Amino acid sequence: MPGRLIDNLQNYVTLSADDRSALASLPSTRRSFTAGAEIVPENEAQTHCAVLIEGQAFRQKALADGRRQILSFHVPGDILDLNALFLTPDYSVSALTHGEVGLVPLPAMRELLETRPAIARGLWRISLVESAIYRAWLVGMGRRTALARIAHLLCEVFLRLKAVGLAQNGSCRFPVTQAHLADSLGLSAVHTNRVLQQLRAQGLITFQSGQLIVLDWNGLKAAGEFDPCYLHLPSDTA
Amino acid sequence: MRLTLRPVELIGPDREGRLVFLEERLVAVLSKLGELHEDATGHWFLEASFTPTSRSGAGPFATLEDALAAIGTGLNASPGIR
Repeated sequence: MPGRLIDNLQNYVTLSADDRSALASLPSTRRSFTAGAEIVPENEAQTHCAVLIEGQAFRQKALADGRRQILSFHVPGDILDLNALFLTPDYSVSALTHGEVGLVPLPAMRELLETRPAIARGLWRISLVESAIYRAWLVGMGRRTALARIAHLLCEVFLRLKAVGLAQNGSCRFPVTQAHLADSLGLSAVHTNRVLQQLRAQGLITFQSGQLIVLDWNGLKAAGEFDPCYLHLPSDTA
Repeated sequence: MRLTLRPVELIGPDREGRLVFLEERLVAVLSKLGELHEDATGHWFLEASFTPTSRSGAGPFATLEDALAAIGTGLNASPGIR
């Protein structure tokens, strides 16, 4: 099992050499995916746990009329279907970019949790941070303006990509469409378009060929009322 | 049901709008999307609606007729509102 999951866990707990070795020797199958592909289906009991190794993905829920709500974005090292450890996922996972997952058989993951308490604590912490992110999204969708919602999300994504080494010089790959942003933030595509234009006009961000370029980090944070504490990132990231 | 339209200018990049009335009462506000919206340029967007069953931000609709049909459906689904 590649180092991405180990790196992720080490943000939250101290792992011993034995812990790291146990993680490294987890059985796993690597599977590639293309942008737009479904990686984990909704409401199907899983046999494996999917760890994102390369690329970006998002969780979503489909509505009866074909619309969707995007629930979260994910970066390498994330366990895409953390629920699968104990529950059937009530969301599906789709690819934002092409990439790779490592599929770990659930019995192996569960055995790890039983025998390695530090790893169990790390996964628990990861789960708690996921909940904190959902709460932040809830507050945004419930009470923030459209401009603040978008600014907040872009700050969050930028910092999470930076934490895994995928943001440099104020720029990161984040090839979302307006539809992705609209579906994440409870906005129409039309409104999203207008707000993005506003963010550009204010000199805060620009998008170029799937790259998000943050021109004014402090301005973007202020526009989104963004405080990175809820992400519990290593202190050298934010 | 007869919905009537009154042209109005909106603030922002999408300037052309219509107020939608049922008799003398305002039911909805539509905007005509400008070039900022690329493929949806020229389409009609439901900016605001006073019927609880239609979603603000519905559309864009390719024609004004389509937009009015959607507004009419929303009104029919809210019998208590009149």
